[in-house]
Amino acid sequence: MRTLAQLALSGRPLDVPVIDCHAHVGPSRGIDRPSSPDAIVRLMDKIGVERNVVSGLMFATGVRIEAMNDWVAECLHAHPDRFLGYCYINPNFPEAISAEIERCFEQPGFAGFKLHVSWNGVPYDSERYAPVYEFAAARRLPILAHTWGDESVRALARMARAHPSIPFLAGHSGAGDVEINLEEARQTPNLYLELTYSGGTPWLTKRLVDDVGADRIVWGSDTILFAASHQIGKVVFADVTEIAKRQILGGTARRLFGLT
Amino acid sequence: MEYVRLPLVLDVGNRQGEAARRTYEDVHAIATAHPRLPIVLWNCFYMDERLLVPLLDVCPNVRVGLATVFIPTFGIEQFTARYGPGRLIFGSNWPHQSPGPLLTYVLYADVPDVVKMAILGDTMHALIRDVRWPVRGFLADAKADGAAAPDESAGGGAAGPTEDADEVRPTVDAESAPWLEAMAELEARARSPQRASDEEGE
Repeated sequence: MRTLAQLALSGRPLDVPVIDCHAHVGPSRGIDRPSSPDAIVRLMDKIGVERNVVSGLMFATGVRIEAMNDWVAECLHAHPDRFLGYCYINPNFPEAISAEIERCFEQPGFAGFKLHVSWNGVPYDSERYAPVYEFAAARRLPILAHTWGDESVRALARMARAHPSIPFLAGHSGAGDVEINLEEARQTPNLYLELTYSGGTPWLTKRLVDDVGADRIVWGSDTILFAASHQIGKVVFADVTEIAKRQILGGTARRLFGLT
Repeated sequence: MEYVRLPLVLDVGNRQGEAARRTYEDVHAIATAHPRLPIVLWNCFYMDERLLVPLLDVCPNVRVGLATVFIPTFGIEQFTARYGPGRLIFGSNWPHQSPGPLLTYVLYADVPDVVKMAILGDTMHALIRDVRWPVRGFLADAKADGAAAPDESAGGGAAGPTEDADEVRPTVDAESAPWLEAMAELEARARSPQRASDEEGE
């Protein structure tokens, strides 16, 4: 049996059902990349990704904030066995949040929320997110939030402690000050570390695994912004056990998203 | 540097916005003023296409290093389709960055093995091979015999270090063996005439 590193070195799909917890669909700043559901699935097959959990790129506009979630719904409709969706809401339009949540979760495949403090400028512990936290807590839905090893992680961790039934995924763990992510994760059992980061910081995966354990770490790629083929390398070549790699690439996420 | 074809490595600094635009304008000025100077750019940002593509379109002497964050989805596929296999060069930015992600970025690309080999080493080998090594003594020689530059028509093929003489053989131990084995497999596939023939029809 080949190891994950050996499979990657030979360019073959990994033999673990990988879950990409941080992926995107839709146009981005006019960058010309294939972004149709079919194109993304071909990309997933190349690496061995079973499912992408997707949100729209990059921000909800004020004119039609549901556009991003429509791109997600298109994927869910085209390949219901390959995609799960994050509902994205814009806290700057609080009057529209509840209706958009209801609209999304009427459709099969929406499985969590994506929040992005940098685009919206509203901290995660703002009251404006209350409808999101209430909805997610009642259904134990994961929430992926953009963080950057700073106060964004602190605020997210505070919300995680206030809502212990919600799995909170701190996006881009490893960017910024990773010590903040680790410190908060140690004292917050429902705060998970998600690995997407453009840089390939040496030994990051091992550092996180040694500190909080592989069952608190999920893999994400930021596809189609970054290449999933790049992001997978930080796990398959990490100096951790094969069991830990498989846990990070799919095991932890399967549990959080209720996948059998 | 242009005369001896010595590659100029420019770190464009992973800049964004106006700073990136000014940097690429500087690169354009250098590359067009010295069209036979091989230039390799490091630390391009992953959303630099709007600056990078126009530059590569008009400056065939500019190549892009993959290191750090030049990791767009379908980047290898799109850039090699537009420019051929010789404009991308593998790098890792070690020890600041881990080499593993950049390696999987190349190995999982949906391109023929020969293209992967070009990115992983062949293009860089060619750049080094094309350097006119005798120029190490060029200035001294020119002063001595009063000549200007050596005749370019000579092709720069005079004595220089041979590949064998300068080759550094990696130490093969238990940890590095799978890597070397995989690279050897990739090279064998890329060099196989049958494989190359199959790929032409894909």
